[in-house]
Amino acid sequence: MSKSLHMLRGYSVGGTGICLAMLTANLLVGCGDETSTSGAQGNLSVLLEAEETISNGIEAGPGPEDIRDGWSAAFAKYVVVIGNVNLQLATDGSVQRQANELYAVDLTEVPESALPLWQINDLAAARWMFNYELGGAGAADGAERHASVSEADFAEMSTNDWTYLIDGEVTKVDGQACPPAFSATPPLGSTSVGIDADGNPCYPHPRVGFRFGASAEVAFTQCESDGLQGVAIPDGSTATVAATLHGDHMFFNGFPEEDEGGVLRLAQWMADSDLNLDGELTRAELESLATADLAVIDDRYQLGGPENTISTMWDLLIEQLKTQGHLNGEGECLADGAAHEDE
Amino acid sequence: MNVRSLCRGPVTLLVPAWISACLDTGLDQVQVPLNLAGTALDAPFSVRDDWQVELEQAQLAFGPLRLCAGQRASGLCDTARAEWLDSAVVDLVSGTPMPVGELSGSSGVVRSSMYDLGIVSLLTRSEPVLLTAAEALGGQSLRLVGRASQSDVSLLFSVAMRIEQGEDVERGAPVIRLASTPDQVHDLGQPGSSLTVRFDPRPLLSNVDFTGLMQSTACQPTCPAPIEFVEGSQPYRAVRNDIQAGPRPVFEWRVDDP
Amino acid sequence: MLLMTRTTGWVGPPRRRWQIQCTRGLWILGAGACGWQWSAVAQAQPANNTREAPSRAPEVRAPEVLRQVPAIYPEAGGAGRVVLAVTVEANGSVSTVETLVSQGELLDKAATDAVRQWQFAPATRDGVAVAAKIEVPFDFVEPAPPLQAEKPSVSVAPEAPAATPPSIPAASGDPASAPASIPLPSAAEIVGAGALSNEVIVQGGVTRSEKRSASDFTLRRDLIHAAPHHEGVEVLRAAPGLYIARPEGAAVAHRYMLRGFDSEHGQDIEFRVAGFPINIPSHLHGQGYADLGFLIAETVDELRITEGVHDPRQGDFAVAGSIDVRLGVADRGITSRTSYGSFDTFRQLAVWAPKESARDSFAAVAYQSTDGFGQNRRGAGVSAILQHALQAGDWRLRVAGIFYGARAEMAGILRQDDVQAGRVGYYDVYPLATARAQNALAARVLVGAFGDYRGMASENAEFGLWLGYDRFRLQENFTGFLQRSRTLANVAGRGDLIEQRNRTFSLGASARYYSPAYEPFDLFEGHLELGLSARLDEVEQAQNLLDAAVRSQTWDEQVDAALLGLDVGFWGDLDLHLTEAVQLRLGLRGDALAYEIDDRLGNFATLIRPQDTYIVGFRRSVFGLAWGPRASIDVRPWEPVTLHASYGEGYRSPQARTLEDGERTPYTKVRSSDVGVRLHPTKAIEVSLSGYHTQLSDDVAFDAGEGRLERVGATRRLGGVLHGQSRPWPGVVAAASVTYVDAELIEPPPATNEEPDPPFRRGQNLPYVPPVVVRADLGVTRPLWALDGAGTLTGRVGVGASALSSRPLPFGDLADPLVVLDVSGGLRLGSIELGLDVFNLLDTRYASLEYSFVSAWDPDSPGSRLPARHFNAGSPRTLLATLEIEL
Repeated sequence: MSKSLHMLRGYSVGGTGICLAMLTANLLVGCGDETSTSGAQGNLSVLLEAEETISNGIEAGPGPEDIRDGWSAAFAKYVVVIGNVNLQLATDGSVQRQANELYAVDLTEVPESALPLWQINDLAAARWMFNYELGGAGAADGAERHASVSEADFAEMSTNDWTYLIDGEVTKVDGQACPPAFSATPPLGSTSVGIDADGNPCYPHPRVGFRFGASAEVAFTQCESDGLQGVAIPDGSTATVAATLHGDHMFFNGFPEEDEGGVLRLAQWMADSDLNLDGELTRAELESLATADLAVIDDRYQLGGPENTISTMWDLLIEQLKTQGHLNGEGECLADGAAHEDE
Repeated sequence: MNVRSLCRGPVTLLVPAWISACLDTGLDQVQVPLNLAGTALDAPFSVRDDWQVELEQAQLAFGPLRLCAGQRASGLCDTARAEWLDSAVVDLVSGTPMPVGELSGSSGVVRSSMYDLGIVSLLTRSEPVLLTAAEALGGQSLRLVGRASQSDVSLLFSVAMRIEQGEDVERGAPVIRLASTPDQVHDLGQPGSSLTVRFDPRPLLSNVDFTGLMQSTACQPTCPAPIEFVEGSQPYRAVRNDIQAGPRPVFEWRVDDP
Repeated sequence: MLLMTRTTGWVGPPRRRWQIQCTRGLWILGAGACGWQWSAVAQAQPANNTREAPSRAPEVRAPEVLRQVPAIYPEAGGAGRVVLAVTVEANGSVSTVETLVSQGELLDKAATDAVRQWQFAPATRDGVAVAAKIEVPFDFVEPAPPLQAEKPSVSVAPEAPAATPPSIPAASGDPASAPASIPLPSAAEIVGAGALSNEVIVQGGVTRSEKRSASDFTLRRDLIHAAPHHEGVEVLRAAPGLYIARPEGAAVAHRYMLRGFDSEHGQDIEFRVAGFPINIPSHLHGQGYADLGFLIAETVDELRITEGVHDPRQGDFAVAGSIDVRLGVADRGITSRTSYGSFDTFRQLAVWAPKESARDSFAAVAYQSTDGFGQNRRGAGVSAILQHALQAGDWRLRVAGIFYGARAEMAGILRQDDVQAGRVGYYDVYPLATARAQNALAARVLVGAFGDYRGMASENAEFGLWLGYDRFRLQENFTGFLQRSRTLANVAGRGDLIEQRNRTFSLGASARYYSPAYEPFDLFEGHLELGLSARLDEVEQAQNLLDAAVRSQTWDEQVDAALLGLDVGFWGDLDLHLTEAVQLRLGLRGDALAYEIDDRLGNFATLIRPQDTYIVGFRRSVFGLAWGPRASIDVRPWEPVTLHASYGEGYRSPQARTLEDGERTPYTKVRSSDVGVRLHPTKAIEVSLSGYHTQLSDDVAFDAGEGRLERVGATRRLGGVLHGQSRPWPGVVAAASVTYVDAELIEPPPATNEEPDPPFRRGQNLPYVPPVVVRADLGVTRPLWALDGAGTLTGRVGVGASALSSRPLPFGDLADPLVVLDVSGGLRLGSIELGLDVFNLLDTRYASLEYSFVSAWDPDSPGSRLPARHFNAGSPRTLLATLEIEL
């Protein structure tokens, strides 16, 4: 009994030692790299959301979100080419998933409940960085027309490779336009009712319509909301995230990098840029005007932070349109226009 | 193989880790010499409406300068990668780099930058603060004196301008934030790095409406005294807007054998 | 006749192996049980110790044991006879226990703790129950060498000779001689119940060690009280590899660092005090916030430290490990302790520990106030701890309450460059309203009832029910003047005085059952433990910015949230004794985590969006499951050596407020493995050496600029702990530990807009983590001088030293190494002790903690946006004189 007992013990201890060594080796060397991604999967539905400023317009008023110089803005069409949703696993940026569809969508037609446009399934249940793009409507990008966009508009956008087609107006009951005298071509018989800071004559001008076709391709990357990057994919179900486009940046007086709370919304520049006072603001008019030519681009404007250099009012408009991409309402994205500097 | 690589792996169990050299802190502290330079102008240059401009004096108060890791500066650069907190007056028409000190910071890539022009907006004050360079320019960020000519018409002009952050946008933010451009990108960890920020004064006047300016004066064809760009006027705005959002200074990185 | 039976006793962790031998007049009451028939003894040995001789010998019947709780053989070993004088009241309960023959605190305590739980049929005199005093000797016997030891049997017949190793002298069958009789208390009517000399022999476990890892430590009262303590929580400093600092003042939780983890305010260490879980989930000031400010050092009896994760009982926040603080008061009676010293520091302690109760029954209250060692450091606090234990049948029940409140002003951090330039003094506060307004308030109440059951067949069980309420309010400025309001347009620069308010109401329960041995064949013994822990937390939290210059008006709202968290943990654990030399434990633990979040400031964008288009606030709910195995193996190839290997997967719950709706709970997964050896070369020396590896799937590091913990990616720690403690002579205890760790980031954090290539890089050492932590403790208590008729003058000296190596800071900086030495001395005569504690004897000017981040403390000049060295000053040399009176 005693002998067998000792043999048994010896075997047991020896075996245990082997197990111990194996266990240790496994533990120290083979520690797996399990993260929360292992096994569990979920899906992502990406919505397109339009800020209320697009669907409801922007009111004149003293509030921080209002247009402060008395103009109101409304949009009849706010077509944008958007897509190329890209996800990067937060813990490993090399793991990426895409939904490459580009859609031309009229944001004024996007329902209150937003528009589900992209679906990416079988994602690891983890946090993913969220990126998307505004593209060109031309053949290079091959955008798809959404039903909210007329065939004619889409064709025009495709031909010109536009990113935006924005049709709207700014109105002000007692509005005036003070185009720079050196380039203004007011209709014959126009009567000035005053002058601006530069001495330019001002004319009654209660409405300015505009229809901008603009190429403003940009990638919105590393979107974050409330300090959290991207989106968390739940295990076994579908997360929803919204790419939100704002509609009011063209009225900003600067380029805030994070919080937009400090900016002013101003629209007098639109009236003053309507050089022929025909009530329709055109790209040509904006391109002909240096920012310095408008007296209203004064000390209230701080232009020190755009992606690209700004010379004309058209440049200013384009640079602002490139910053309108957000995440889930007010979440911020990096507007990486570097890849589109040449346009 | 550097010292730290010796400290890695199984050796970690043998090397006394209280030796600081064996601690990999991820980044290294760096000092990078900073130079400021203008552009030597050999001949008059053309601006709007084919006016020819000669600059007799062009001085810019520059600083502080901060270099950022991100694609964009300002709010995305709460923690700068390197900075030079001083200020200096740059002779914009001298192409010779002027050493002004060192950028301090940590190793890593810088991509964007932000700077003030001798006048700094503080979060804590409604009025900005003048640094020594701006004080040297009489409280201004920029001083230009030159002559603009077109055909047989010419005028002397002068510009004295404060460039400061307006409270309406972002109080406390540097007045100029440059998004990433290829020339700004540099790894500060490269030994022997130095930076020269080179300015070109010509774009500052490119959108000035000298024609209108001339028409507004009563001293044609030649004005005996310099015409000062009045604050709020088109020439003033043209300079101000172009210094903020026009063509940027060029970042000339140089890496010498240390 | 000798009978030995064997069982496994003790309900609480860690489980211990013991053997009990009962000699003389022993009747077996049933298989596997060891009982006493005192009556038989009493009849055999009539009382002969009467104080007065009655005319008729009364019929005296000695107390009869109804329930006998075995003594627990101490982990550290030891041998010898402890003789206790036990008063058995007329109701059969044990009232007073005196030590007649001591074998040192450890063995005395084991015997006393056991006998206090015994229950008797009282002694009778002529049939009337009376109080009686009896002697109970306990013979402690060293464990047998494992390979020679026979496995004891529980089924031996009463007549069978003991299957006892021949090397156990006390088990040779030679009974202890009958002790001298003890006179009855004068209050008792009866003159005596007889000298009962029944002998308890407690034998050390043959091979079983209840420790699962070489990184498990039990620190006893003599060691943890060797060095002086400025505040109660400093008893933890004796824990190997643990560094604690209190950089934010007396009403904010300490910062804990343990074997490569900067555990912040407790996020990586699971704390338990007197059965109460201390960490508060989703606390605004830090996940797992664990303020141990309520601890009264004099009531801390024992520390059980489990470093790593390998026990299924370890739950949330057991990342670096777990620390279980057991409370008890050794010196019974009423004690008053008054201290006064540097910086007008005053402390008054009162302890009432009824002599008739066990050491875990006491009431203590401590008040402390100080002007602080520098500007803006005044503080005061009070802590009351009540605990009472009683026996109810087979259960030992314990009710406990902790009541704590403190308020302190805070000097906050200073920039090192400001100190070097003479702009502010090392121990000063910035001369700004926003800095001087820093303060904190803490209030906490914990009440609960706990029960434990020890069966005679090694089965045991525990339960606990507890309630907690915690209130926390903080005004703290880390960054000077960098913030801007998002609530008020164009308002900025009023000072970054952050107000944090957190209120937590907690309700919890726990239970576990450890089964009797399953022994299907020789050389195998198995137990199964099943356990459950559950807690529910209701949290209200808010964070604002205050303008100290204008009556601390609010100038921004940053957080306003209500949280509900539910954590239900459950585990099973197999405890298998494969041979006498091998013990294997295999366990599995799961925790179901559920959260409901009412983020009242979510979607806040009043300055941006038309206010008539949305309502501020988000509500979210989340459910997730964290689970993982826990396993360990112990091998004892020869007597003084135990080899350990362990592996476990633990978790750390997330900050609930950061969760998204429906998110799979992104808890941090912890993988912890540990190998080591424990040596007991002599009974006075214990040495352990362990190597460990810990990997976290998703770690965080403190970002002072953001004022919160930020993700840094996956990390790993590879290190070792060398620990030794020794009691070479009576009254002398010494311990030292060296912890080394290489803590590395193995996966860089994801890029952000701000940091496209973050400053944390693969392979770099983790910020704030000291690679080397050294701790040494020494305590000496010696009789100095026997005074005629006045007792003995006893001297006491204590030394505690902590050293930290240089440690990385973010952005390429390094913190300075530090060494702090504390000493203590005292003279005791009878019930009075005079003492002097000196903290930081060398008057080292050191930083309690250092950071690197951006701040702007000069409101009138453009501040740097580069990370700068900041620190919280550590205390300069501090003297504290103490007068202790025992009543």
